[in-house]
Amino acid sequence: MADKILRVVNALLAITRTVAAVLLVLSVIINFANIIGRYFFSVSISWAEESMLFLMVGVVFFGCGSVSWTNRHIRMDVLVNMMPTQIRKLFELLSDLVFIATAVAITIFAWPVIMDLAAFDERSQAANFPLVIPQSLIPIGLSFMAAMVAVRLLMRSRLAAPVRPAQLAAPKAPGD
Amino acid sequence: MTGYLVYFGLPVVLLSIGFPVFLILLVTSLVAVIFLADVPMETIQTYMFGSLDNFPLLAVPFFVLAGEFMAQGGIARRVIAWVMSMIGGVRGSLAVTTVAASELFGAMSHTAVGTVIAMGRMIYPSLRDNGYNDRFAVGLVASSGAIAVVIPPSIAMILYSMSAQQSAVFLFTAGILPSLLIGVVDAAYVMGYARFKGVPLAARANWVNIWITTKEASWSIGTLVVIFGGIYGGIFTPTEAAGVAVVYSVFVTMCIYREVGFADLWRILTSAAFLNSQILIIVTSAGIYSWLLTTSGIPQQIVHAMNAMQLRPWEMLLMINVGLLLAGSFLEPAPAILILTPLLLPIVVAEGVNPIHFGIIMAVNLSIGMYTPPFGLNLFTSQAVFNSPIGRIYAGVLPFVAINFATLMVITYVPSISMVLLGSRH
Repeated sequence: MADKILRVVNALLAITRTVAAVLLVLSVIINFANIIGRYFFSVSISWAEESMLFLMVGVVFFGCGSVSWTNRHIRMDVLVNMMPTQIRKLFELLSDLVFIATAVAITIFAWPVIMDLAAFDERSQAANFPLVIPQSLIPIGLSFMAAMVAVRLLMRSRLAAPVRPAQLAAPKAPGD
Repeated sequence: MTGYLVYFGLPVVLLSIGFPVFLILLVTSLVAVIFLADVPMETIQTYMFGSLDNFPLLAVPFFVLAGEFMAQGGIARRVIAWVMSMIGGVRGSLAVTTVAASELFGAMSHTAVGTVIAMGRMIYPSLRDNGYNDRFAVGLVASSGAIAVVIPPSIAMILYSMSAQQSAVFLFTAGILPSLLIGVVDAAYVMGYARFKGVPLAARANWVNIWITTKEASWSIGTLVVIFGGIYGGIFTPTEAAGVAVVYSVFVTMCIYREVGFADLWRILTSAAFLNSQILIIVTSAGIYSWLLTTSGIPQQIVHAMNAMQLRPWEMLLMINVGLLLAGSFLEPAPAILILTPLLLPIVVAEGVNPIHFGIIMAVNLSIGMYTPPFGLNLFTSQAVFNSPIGRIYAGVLPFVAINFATLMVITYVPSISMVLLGSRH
């Protein structure tokens, strides 16, 4: 059962990572096409700016599932690392539980906004793109992150060994 | 009082027990919206989305992606060889090369940790072979790498421009002389050190070698021409320049140098998306926190309290600088800027400090924080790269912390160093 869940999680993460990378590439292509169009053909893409911004929202919230699953969000962990292991684990658990509660709360608070955007078919000015799509990426992304954290917690409690790095399967990212 | 506990006490507690920065900002905002601020709950969604709906911010994912290509595609190696070929025949030339190459690579890659890793792997062995002791070599690489936070076009400045509602181009322009000043002061120190320690003279620079390395590095150096020429030539906005830098670095690393293959391409893309998510989730969380903090009236109360203390501007700036240095040794520049700008900017503006100048002060200060003991991020990166004991790294960086703090004081109290290139534009 646990293996099946891990397989599903890895598949979902592979998909979301792929989507995040593709959205990033699309954003670069639109930016470049806009510059080429403006300087060589005197035509700029009116929807370029808006669509790149929406793509960036997508990159962030599709990519964050992997960050949450691998527990690699930016944090100041030097003090915690000096604490005894049991206390550190307790704080990690607390952090995960608080995150799940926060993500659920924000999703609930965001729901009326998303419903209104859908009901009134609000669209972006230049791209005429339904705003419900990029806006809903925030609650969807947070819910997905919360789900990843919840699965990670469940896996930890059910498996004798912690989730192996290979199962986490996230690219190594340098910090700033 | 409750407001201070929620907006400052809660984040400090959560930060010290290891909560992720984005979560701290979200929890604080949630508590503030529920218990303190008289605003509808839907505000959270609106401001989270609004903080990402910001065109200059697009430069961040592009610069991150370009930096990934440059770090992994052989650009750093060629830049170092080029700088090394030109700086010869003076005592301390290799150490000066480290400083100069860090400035160049920092300007291309925009990542301090990436610069430390690149310089550490490529220059550190030569530094040791040429008579520099381990403590000095580690301290030099760890501190020089942090210049990427200051040298334009830096991600820290883009985030500050967003947070402080200032022009990114003005900030980039204002950052040129301070980052060069830091480089010159560091170079003078390392030359003095080499003379004092009797480090052997390196071979003289010769034109043949310079020609060969220049030819080899010309495509790499072209990155700077594309970015700076594009921005300052008025051809691109910083965001567009960042996007062009991505295309250019893909072209150079895949087609010219052929050091990045299609398998690497996918790894770099997913890695950049991952890193962008790590950074930008903080931006989106900071959006709601900053707005709530600003509308809470707390920054204004602090301004009044500071006024009541009747501190002279130089005293207030010194206090802020020390506070920022402490914050910078705990927090990375991106979250530090996003959290502290809405709080500090009203205070310094009330004292007549130009917001652009303050952006430079913040960037320089937080760059020093990156290698300030005990917790600066570059220290731990250096530990991983050099496998040196942390105590030795602390000892190695301390002279650079002292020297660069002195430079920071000059940059703080001589605003014209930052503002002169802006001329009458600001």
